[in-house]
Amino acid sequence: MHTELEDLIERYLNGQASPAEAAELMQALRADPSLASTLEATSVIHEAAKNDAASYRLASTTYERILVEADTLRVMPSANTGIIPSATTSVALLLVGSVLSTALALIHEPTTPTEHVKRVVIDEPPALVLHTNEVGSAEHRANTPLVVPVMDADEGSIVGSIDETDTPELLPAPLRSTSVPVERTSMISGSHQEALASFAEQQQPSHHSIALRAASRPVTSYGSATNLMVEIGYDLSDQHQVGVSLHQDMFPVTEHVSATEVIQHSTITWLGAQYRFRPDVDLPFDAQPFGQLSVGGSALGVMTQPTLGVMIPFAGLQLGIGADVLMMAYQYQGNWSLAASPGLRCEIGYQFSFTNL
Amino acid sequence: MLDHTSSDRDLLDVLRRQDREAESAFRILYERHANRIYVYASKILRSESLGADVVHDTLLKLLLSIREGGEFENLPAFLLRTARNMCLNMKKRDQVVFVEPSTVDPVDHAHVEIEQRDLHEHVIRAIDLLPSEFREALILQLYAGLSYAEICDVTGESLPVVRNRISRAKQRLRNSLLPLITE
Repeated sequence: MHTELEDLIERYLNGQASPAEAAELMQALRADPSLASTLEATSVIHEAAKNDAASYRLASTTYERILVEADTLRVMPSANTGIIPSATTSVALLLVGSVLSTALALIHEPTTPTEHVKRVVIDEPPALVLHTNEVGSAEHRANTPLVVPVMDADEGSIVGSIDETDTPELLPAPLRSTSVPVERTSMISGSHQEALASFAEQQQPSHHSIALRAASRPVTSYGSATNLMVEIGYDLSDQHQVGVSLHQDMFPVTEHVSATEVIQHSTITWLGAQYRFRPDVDLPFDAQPFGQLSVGGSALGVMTQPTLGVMIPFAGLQLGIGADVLMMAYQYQGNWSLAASPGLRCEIGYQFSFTNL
Repeated sequence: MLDHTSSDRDLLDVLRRQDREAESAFRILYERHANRIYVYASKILRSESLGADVVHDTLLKLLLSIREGGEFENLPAFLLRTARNMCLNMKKRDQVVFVEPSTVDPVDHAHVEIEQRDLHEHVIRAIDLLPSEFREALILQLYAGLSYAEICDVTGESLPVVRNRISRAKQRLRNSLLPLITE
């Protein structure tokens, strides 16, 4: 898409477009009805990201963890806000808690078969955190107590649980948690699953992309001629492409086969290997600059062709223009000579993609 | 008197003085910046618990830097740059371990039509599938709300590169969405 139009859509969706810009966009929409889908898709992207971002709520305990750690590291004066008890208060609270828990243990029979539990893994923050409200708003999730299952380390079964909100706030969490992250997931319909699977394939390293190009050099230092080349390129990445090419170029050369025999060549056919670099830059019309070097051989000598150009996507094709210099190093009467022919280049290409070559 | 209209610079000055208002200043800074770091780190690391760890470490780093006399021209950029480095280190150390989710934890979009919710979910998942450099630039823009210049500051990339990455990321997302929208 045209970069300026893209910027305009961005500004429009962010509410930053001036009335004149909004009118310009409306005019563009009338001129190109397919632009409405583009605008809608961009709007969906913005809305989805906005809703997703809003669903992330940092637990309030994070702030308290930082304050405790900051107090320990003495990087902030204790403000006695009630969040960080003094050392004396902490010891007193721990003692009271110990006495109360002992008393409760004596009054009530344990409901968990303690003889079954050989070792309990609770030395780190939750190994697995289960949201008690699996279907709820972000705010609801943030305010809902978290239940930490207590595992029997040997048998791997859950033998109890701790309500994390009941744990004392005195114990600072370690600087680096080792909790296992749990991905967010959600339900999605079949057609979206298929589209996502296809999208995923295109983003993966197993995705391959090959370009087929036909090019000509309509203008060269030897005049207008039909110089043709066919190229096949394989994308190593978004920037790097390697390939092979077959060329037929007008390149007048006189070959002295012997003292009496001379052959006049008007064209040369040569086979080359090439490398194309496409820098990661932003140009209008989604134009993509490139630099290319082809090196190969013909029956007469070594061929080299550096090229600079730009490609523009159009109707699923890649149209390109550029300038190049065709050079040939060849032997003449026992000595190496170099001939060069600068020219302009036009190309048309098609890029197709597939997975698992 | 400190309040939520106080500038980052004023709040940092209070923290430097280490007086009785320091905790209030820090709380305002926390409320202003923590969630942005959290969203960024959670998206990049694909884990909310690790995202919270990054917030914790980033803000402690801020406090340590203040104690050591650090100056901050652009606090949001400093915080996100610090968070970014921590995310990169976590990835390098392979600390990010993914488990197959056993529960379904859908984002609440009760107010949104089912089809619209599906489209949103499609976008969120598609963002997750983008190449990492595209994904990061997009998250910094759409989730962290940074401008192109601020993204350059955080990632150390040039403006054309950042613009190109975001543009191409959105182009890929649009191409993925268009068949669903025009269905």
